[in-house]
Amino acid sequence: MLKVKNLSITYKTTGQKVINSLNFSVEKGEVVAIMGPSGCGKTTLLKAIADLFESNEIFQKGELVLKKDANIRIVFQEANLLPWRNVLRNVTFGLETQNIEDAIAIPRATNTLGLVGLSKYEKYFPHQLSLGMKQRVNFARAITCEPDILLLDEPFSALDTVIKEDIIREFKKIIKQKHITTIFVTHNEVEAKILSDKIITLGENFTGIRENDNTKARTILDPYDNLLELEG
Amino acid sequence: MKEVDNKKRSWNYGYFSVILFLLLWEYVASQSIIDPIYIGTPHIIMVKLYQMFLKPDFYDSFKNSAQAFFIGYVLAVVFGAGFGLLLGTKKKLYQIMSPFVFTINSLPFVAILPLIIIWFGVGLVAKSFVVFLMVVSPVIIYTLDSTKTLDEGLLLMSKSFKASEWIKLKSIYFYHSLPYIFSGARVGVGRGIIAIVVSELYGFGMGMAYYIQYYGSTYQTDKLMANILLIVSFNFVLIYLLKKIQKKVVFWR
Repeated sequence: MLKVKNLSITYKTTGQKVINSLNFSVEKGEVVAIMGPSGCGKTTLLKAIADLFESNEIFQKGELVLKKDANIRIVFQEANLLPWRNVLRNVTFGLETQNIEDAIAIPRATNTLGLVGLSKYEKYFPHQLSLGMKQRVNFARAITCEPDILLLDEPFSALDTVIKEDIIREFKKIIKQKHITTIFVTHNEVEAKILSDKIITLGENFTGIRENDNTKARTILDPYDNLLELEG
Repeated sequence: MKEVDNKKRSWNYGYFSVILFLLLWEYVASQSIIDPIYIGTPHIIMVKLYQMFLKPDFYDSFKNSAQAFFIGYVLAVVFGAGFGLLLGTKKKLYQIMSPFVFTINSLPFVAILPLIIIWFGVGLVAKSFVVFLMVVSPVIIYTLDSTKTLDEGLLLMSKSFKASEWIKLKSIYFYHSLPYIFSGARVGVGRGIIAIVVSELYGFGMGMAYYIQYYGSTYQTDKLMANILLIVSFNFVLIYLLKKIQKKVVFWR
């Protein structure tokens, strides 16, 4: 689904090399977590995959091998909902950008809102929602477009611990149910363990890749306790 | 709750200061501390205003002014908002057009009234055009400025969805700019009314300001003041209505 071959990225303005000869691949339906300290290039990598950089922003070497016209959607840390649109219309925004008509878009969005547990909130506006609900809408907006690759850029970091656990479980269930290839950036190891099949750790001079037995993590460790423990 | 109380109190102060001003004015005029021929007398002004409402030619003159105002004003707000959005989102267009926009904004429009007479005569079109010129620049500038304040996150989100320029414009920039368009439109009300009054004083048709000039030259101060009061009230009513509409339309703020 995605192959990253000897990828190096340097910012043109600062000259800072944030990714150095990175290699990994992601299979269809696989969930890969990218971990590492702040500034190690996690978000840069996602933005490069999503083709969000202007040509004058970065120098890019190596290859990002993707299916031609791959449908890539990204869920940012901030929900970035349109405040003048209700929940349903925020979810249909992604479909509008694909020129999908309302007759198809609205039932699809309604269905996705059902999956994320927001059926009753279709007519609510963002200012009437909690942080967790906003992030659910953000997620729904991305997955309703039926992406080939879903990129999650620390989507849980703004949420409090209790909500976080519920949302991670819900998202994981949906991602697995819909068999969505997902790359998930986080600095929280527990989140990575719960959600992903494979963890890639980025560092200044190294890249570590390990398979994650998340079945084990889910049964041996209670994720909720573990989240509390790690976050103090 | 506290906020509501404060709001209520400030309204009371507003009414109070106006009533106090009118009482003082009435006293000064009725005691001839200042000759009423210079300032009029509030209660007589109200009587004259009432008498004006009974005369059919008042409605003709009001219609003359209001029609030109609304044509010029609505066109200016619609065009100004659209053009402001384009200028704010198209860098090259901004570079080409901004000198003209800022020139129009600082134009001493009285100086170009003779030119407008040459172009359009002194009828409805000419008057509407003057209003348009006066209103359009604040609407463009407010709208243009609003595009610079759009949340980077929303832009990044729309970019990640590969939203077309048209979708960004109609679904993001337009709504984000609405409060600013309303602000420009509110500033435009005052400028549009000045445009109507000055152009009518200059001889563009027989509207409200024509009567102001007539009553002024015949020392009918009360009638003159009644007309001015009406124009000021027109301004207040429009601004009040715009605020009400804004509250309905820009409900998320």
